[in-house]
Amino acid sequence: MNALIVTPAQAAEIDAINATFRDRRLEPVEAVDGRKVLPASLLTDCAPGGWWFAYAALLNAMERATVELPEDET
Amino acid sequence: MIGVGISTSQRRPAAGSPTAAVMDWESRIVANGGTISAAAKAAAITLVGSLQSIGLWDKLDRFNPFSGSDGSATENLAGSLVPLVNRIGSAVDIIVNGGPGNYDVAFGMISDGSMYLRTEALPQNIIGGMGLALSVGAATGKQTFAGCTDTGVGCRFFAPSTTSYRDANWGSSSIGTIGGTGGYSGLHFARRRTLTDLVRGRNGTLQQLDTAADAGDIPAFGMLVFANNARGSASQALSAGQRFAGYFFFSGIVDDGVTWPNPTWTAIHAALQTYFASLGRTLP
Repeated sequence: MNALIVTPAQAAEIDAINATFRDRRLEPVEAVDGRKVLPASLLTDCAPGGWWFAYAALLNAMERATVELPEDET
Repeated sequence: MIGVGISTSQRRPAAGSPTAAVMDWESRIVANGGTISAAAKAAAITLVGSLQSIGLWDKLDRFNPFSGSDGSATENLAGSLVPLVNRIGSAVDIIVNGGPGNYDVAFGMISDGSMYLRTEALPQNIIGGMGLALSVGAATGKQTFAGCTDTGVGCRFFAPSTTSYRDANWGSSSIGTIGGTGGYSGLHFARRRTLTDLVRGRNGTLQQLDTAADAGDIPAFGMLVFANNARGSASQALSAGQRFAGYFFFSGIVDDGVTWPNPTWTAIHAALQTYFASLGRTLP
């Protein structure tokens, strides 16, 4: 997965922005290596008027990396 | 993981005019920044009337046929997140880690392996279930299409699956080949008539019946749609390739549980097919 790496401080900022919306939310997930990540594809909707524009400054500041997500819990 | 600051609505399905119900829906779509086409609105009036005739309408707890249309991609997504019925759960569906690229009027919601929808809905009645309309489905392996926001077994029977819809852990559910070629798509439903009597079907046909099931614990937790594991954690969004025309949660028995193919579910399937056609969407 092409991912954005989310620091604890950035996660807190995301939570604060999430609270201002009722129909959208970003929730960082834990990669296999333990880092919190978001899909890098979110950056395609960060332009003015885009779905995630309110989060754009935060998302654009995040480190990018390829990460592995955990398998299903079966 | 439970949403914070999400206002809930107790919008009971109106027993009266289908037109009034659709006008109310449109007003909520517009209020969310969305749009809906005139064709979809006209078809929705017919759909509500059909569901009233079938006897499902007043048993719906939550119903979203993902209908944003005639606007920009952003407006269409905003419209698609507004349920026609939201007696339980949040006022609108909450898209998590997704965006306009996850919605296409011709298909509905499109999973990409990262996003899912949060409904904040709590099942209101143990004698209930869910319907899931797949416009284009595919084999998924061990994945669940509607999960819980935390560990729990109360809502496990909501998962349409090939081999088990009530496994001790939601993670064992999948949509498979029952129904033959193309059996992945269509209107899947799962419901329980009693604590220990579970039924799963597709397009009005019985797929699985279990009259000696584990009763499980009630109530469940907030329902997610398009999650693939027991807990619906954000790291386990449904894999790419599934296209969802819509979903609904319901309470109360809507069929006799004996006659298969079942005329009630066959009629619901037909009514939804007609409605989705107004959006250019095929429900097999």
